[in-house]
Amino acid sequence: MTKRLPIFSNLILVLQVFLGLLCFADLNSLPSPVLFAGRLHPLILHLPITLILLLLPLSFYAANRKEKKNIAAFFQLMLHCVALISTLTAITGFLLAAGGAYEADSLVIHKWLGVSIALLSHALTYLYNPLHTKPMAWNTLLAVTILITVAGGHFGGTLTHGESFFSFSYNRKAVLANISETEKIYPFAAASTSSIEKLNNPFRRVLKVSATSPALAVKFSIREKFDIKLLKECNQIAEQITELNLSGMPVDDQVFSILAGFLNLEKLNLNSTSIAGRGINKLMALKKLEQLSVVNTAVDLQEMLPLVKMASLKHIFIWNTNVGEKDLVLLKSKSPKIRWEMGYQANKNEILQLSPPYLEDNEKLIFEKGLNIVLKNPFPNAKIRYTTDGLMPDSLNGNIYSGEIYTTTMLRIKAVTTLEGWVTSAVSDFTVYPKGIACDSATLLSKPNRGKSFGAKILIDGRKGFSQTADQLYNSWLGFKKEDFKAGFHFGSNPILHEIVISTADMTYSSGASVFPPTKITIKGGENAKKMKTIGVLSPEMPLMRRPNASIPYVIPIKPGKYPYIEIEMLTLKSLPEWHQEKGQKGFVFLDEVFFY
Amino acid sequence: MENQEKQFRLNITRKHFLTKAGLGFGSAALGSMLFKDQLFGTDQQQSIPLGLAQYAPKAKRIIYLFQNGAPSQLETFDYKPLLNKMHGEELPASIRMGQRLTGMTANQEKFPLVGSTFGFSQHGKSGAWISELFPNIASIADDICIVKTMNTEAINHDPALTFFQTGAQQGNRPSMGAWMSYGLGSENSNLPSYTVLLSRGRGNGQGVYSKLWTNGFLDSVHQGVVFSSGDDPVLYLNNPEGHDKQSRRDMLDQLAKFNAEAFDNFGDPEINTRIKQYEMSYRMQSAVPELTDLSKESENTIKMYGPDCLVPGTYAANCLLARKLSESGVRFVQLYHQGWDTHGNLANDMRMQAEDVDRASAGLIKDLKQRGLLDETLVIWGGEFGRTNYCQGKIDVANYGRDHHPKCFSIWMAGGGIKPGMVYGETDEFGYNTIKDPVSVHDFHATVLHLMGINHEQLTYRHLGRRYRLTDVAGQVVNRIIA
Repeated sequence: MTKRLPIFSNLILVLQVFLGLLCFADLNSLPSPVLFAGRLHPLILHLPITLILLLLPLSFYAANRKEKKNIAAFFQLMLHCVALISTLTAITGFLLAAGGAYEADSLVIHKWLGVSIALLSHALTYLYNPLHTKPMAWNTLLAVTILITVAGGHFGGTLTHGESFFSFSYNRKAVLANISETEKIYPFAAASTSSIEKLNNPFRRVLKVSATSPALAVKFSIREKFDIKLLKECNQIAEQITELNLSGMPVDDQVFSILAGFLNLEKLNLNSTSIAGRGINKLMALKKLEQLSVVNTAVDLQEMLPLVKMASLKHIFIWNTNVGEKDLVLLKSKSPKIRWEMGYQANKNEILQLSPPYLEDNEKLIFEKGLNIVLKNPFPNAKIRYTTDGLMPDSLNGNIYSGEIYTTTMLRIKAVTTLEGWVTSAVSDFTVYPKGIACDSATLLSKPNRGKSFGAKILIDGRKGFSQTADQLYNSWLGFKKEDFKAGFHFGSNPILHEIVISTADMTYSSGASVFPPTKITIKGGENAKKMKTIGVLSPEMPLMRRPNASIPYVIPIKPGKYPYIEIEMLTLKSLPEWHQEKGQKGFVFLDEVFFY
Repeated sequence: MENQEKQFRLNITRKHFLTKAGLGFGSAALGSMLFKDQLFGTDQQQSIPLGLAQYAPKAKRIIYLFQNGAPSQLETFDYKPLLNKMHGEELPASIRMGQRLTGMTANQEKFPLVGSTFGFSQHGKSGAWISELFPNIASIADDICIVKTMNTEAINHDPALTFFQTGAQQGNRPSMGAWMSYGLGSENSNLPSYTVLLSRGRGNGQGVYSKLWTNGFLDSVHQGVVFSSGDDPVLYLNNPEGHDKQSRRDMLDQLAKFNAEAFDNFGDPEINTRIKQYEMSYRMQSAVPELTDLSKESENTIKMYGPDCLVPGTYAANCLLARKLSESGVRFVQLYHQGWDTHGNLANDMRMQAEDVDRASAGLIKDLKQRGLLDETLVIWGGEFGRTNYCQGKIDVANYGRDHHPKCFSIWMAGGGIKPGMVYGETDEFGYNTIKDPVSVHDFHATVLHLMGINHEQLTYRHLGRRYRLTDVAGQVVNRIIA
């Protein structure tokens, strides 16, 4: 064995230990100067490839020479150089990969091949034997190293030039076109970060289109805070602005002279501004302008006509302006390359159903003395018709709502929205309740299937349960299915009672909902649970088909009198009707409040 | 005793010192190179620039119309006439291949195939099959890309929904919107960059929870802001009685001073987040009323989205609000419409749910298009998984149920760099397995991030000693659906 080169060898060893650490370290957190060293990778990577490939002829040459000693020294030096440069190439490769976006699968393979080349070339320095006592081991290792080097080079090429680089079908133009499609190349330099930062404020947002592009998009917001100065200040980045959005800002025709200075503008949005179009021809100075939006403005045909000559323009959004259908025909005929967007035109023959009215304050359903019931109708010209007698309102029947409905008593309101040219809405059904006589305490005498944790107290807390959704309903109502509802109510003050109202839910319309009216309500009253008589009975009607969900009050007149203790029983439906998807099963009874009058 | 201790402490030899110090300095030097931020502390979490796209984005904003509860692909976009022919026959074991089932049907003795009760017809240049329940979505067939081969790992709502929104089933990771906010920042600092709008249909509902719009381990400024479904979408935004705008300004200035002092003393970054949030709330007092005012909508708009668009809290109103928020620069608007969980009563429920969403979803696309926003806005429509081709519960031609199915289901996407008018992927004739071009949830996330100009492998955040990303350790961009 020739004399090895200890300094060289130790240096390679240290670098390879470092390389080993790099394999498992999180390189993204390295400082950028260190990552910069990665840029050397493309510069030096060809050296080890060349040197390793040269080893093959040199190895043959060395093996067949008689004066092996001098050749061996040279060969050993060369092997060390190969190992050193391979290791450095691998290290710089790791640093380059940390800072760039490369396709993951090829990168992983290339990375490990690179590490293998470094380790194998180092192993070659140990295995080289000028006397060729172990030619088999040397030749095998050399062949493996060369093969891996070729493979490593292949995957490196794939990373930088694409998968088809090593095939005959590789099309350089296509690859270049692909690159330019994802990132548009601009002839101008990027604006400085500080000037972009200076211009950014809550009412003017200046954003780079992407990290690698010099193009800027500027957007203004909050109409009341807009000042034309905000736009003028953008002059310092005029070259870089490619998108400008002034939508909704109070700019008038004066704006065109300022806009004419943004020469690289490609997209301009002037929707819902105060422009009338006078001077819009100044935009003809914008030779790159591709898209112009002037929706909801007062621009007209005459002002827009000159723009048809703009070669760069591809798309103009112009609906809801003074440009009419006939004007558009003319504009289109003069500019066949421009797409004129006139907006969605509703089918006038299509008749849709209006949405039903709703209560302005859904929380105010229980009142002390009197209540102004405010109904809301979202459609500007539509009427609300309502009834309070239980009959169904429609487009012809029912009172016309003209503001508030005042009541001092319980009132069940059914209301619809109606408007000519539209289908009358579904019926809204809601009830408001006077507070009634306070009950001291309540006790559940049967087990609820829903809302067990609330207990009987929610029946006398003076608050209605949510009525919007099934899930919420479960959370603030009591539901009985397995057992019938039964509860006792205590009155210490011994008031005279005439009537009891039970607020229940009726839900057969939602999926899987089987909340039905109770089949029978029985009220008993007396001194206590052992001394009482039946004082009121009601058998509610069962629905004959699915009906909209509603909160339904059941009014049970009772024999007037003083009842320190009242017991209410409601029987659940034992077999759901044929038309219900759970026919034959038990129905639920839901209630959220009991009122005593 | 004291002397002994002193003696012990002095028992450090020169060799000991040098060995320890040498190792210590060496470790520190190496550590400073390899784990710089852990050693010295730094805000640098990743190498890619934050607050803007890495490369030219095809989409700038996202509106995600999440159909919560999982709409059946077999009643929407995946037409399978074989199921009608084989109605009531047993699902072949060769098709099911031992697929894991939910507890709701695992114990069923039989798995009878059930065909859709709704008719299908072809629409658009691609000839996409679309159910009769969605005539308005059918009218935009040339604008959308239907992906029929989505698949997921979860078979129950909560993990599947969490997986779709956060890239993991467990529920402690940032949601998609939070990642977008973190990676791309805001286009309008007067509005949150991530908003959530909730609505509920009349079908069988499944809950949605705040963990679905969580910021996870990211800064809480990236959390989704829920707009409530009443007349007042952002609660407590109006000044209380007796306080005008100036007094609110003075109060906030004073509060900011206290908060700044607190930050100087404690250095907690959450304090800065709080200052930013107060300032944004103040500016939202101007920005939000402009957006939520529904009184000036034209008849065209009302017919485009449907009359419900004027009723706050409905899906249609949320679609209209989503357009306005997106147009104003909100990066990610997330809608959830509940009620698609059709284990039973499917025929009725699907009809009601479709009535809620069909016109408004199509209206949103038409509205974005007429404003020139569709090119830069990615709209996604879909649920968390699909539904089985066999019946759950009693089988009835007019009424039946379908259980959860993770192996293939349909979503559609439009705008924002998506190839319009195409159908991607193929499922088998039973609508049970994917036979061509599967798209996993990770692939979906990778594609969405790519469209937004972000390499999904590089948008990462270090937490608990490792780097996290939305796509975890998987995900391939689906290039063929990109225009």
